[in-house]
Amino acid sequence: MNEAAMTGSGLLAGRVAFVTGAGGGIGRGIAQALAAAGASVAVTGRRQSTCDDTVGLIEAEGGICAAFEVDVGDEMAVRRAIDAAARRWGRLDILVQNANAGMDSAVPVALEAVTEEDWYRQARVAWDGNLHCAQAALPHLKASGVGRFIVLGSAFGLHGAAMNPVYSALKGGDRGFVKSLAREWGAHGITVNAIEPAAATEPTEVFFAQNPAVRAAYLRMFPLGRMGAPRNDIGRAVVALCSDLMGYVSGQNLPVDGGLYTAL
Amino acid sequence: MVVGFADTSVASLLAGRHAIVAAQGLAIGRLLAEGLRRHGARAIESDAPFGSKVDAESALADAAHEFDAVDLVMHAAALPTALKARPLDALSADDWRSAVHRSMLATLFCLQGAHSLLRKRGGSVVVVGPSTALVGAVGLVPLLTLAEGQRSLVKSAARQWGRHGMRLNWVGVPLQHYAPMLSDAPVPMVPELGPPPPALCRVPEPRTDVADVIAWLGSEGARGITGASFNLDGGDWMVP
Repeated sequence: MNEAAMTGSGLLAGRVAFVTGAGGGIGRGIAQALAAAGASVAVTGRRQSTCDDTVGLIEAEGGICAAFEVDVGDEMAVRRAIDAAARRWGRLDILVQNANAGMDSAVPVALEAVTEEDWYRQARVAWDGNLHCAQAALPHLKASGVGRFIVLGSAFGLHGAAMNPVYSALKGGDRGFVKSLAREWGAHGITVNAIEPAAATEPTEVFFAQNPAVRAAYLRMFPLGRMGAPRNDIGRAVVALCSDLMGYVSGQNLPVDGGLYTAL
Repeated sequence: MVVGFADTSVASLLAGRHAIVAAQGLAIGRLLAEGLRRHGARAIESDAPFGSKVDAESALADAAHEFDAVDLVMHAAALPTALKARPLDALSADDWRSAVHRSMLATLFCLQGAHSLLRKRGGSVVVVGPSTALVGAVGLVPLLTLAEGQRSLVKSAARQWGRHGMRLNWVGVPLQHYAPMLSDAPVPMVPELGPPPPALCRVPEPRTDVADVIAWLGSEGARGITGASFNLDGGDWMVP
């Protein structure tokens, strides 16, 4: 298969995407994949420097993008950034809400010890981020005619991981959010979906470094024998979901995990 | 706090067992407590709001004080802000936070309180939510985000606390029973060609159909069941 087909080059030509949490990990991979597919990409994150790094990678390949420093827990900051991105490129077609609170997915947490502060630290990014992005993006996605709203869930939200119950609950809640919003926004021609990725990211690498014996056992659980790559596995799935090829898919929670979770 | 005693005229899955029903003011709590009593349980209803872990531990400990030990904790939580149908773009940030965060924290604190009560001798925890959470609904993004969050939290808790002999499960009930004020909400219908009645041609009743399942989950017969989701919609959606 040629490189253009592999990257979906041209599939998203003329589209404009806004990706949260794009300063690293899966979000960076998604931003790179969207840009490689022809979209102009707003690369957003809490730290300008990491967003700039992502922008550098995309621009080195000739992609079109710009960095926006945004905390998705800040309603007005999200609104300003989304409006600014839409002004810059004249439209907004794709919103990918990928932001998470740091390294939480692979940090063991005892549920009996979780505090209200623990909850809010993660939830203001995950759930409030969903709300802020959805409310601010709606007028633009309505105007797009091919609007896409994608939330990055997690395999942990499907099976309810023991590792971090707060993270699992938030990612589980994303399901209810996506299913309901898809029904609500269908009349506007906007599709709403979640991708449940299993990818090798900074948090998992840190966890594996601290727990080397777990790595091999975990990898054996994947029918495809490996964890996903942020850009080539997760990012390309996002590209497909944003393209016209998947324009009739909405309200779904799609595991992109190498066959890891098959209980649906 | 309401204390009730067993109705001895029906089968008694929970004879001699003690249950706390902490439904945070939701009317379905009363109906389910009555149903548990039909199965022989002594069931105490605790409607105290769980605004903190201390609140929850205190309320559950007060309820448990009536008993030698607690066998079953049944919980439901959705604050009034979660029980209004409106489009997401019409929702204020304050209403969102109340609907999803405060309700979710009530569940977190209730589970922590249940853990304090049950960790030494085990027991069953059942969290009740709207079955609509499994399919989504227009105007109910906050409630159904909350409900799916609660369902996932139950799974994680089941994994962490199974070693203490604790079993935690989720039961979905028809929206009109979970939140009667949402009876007119546009709940999606299963995609049949033509009128799609539930397979059982009726909507399950809380006091009987639903309480019977919760009673079973609290009984010895369900000793191998944890982390599971039971969608009691009468065979409507039959989710995968």
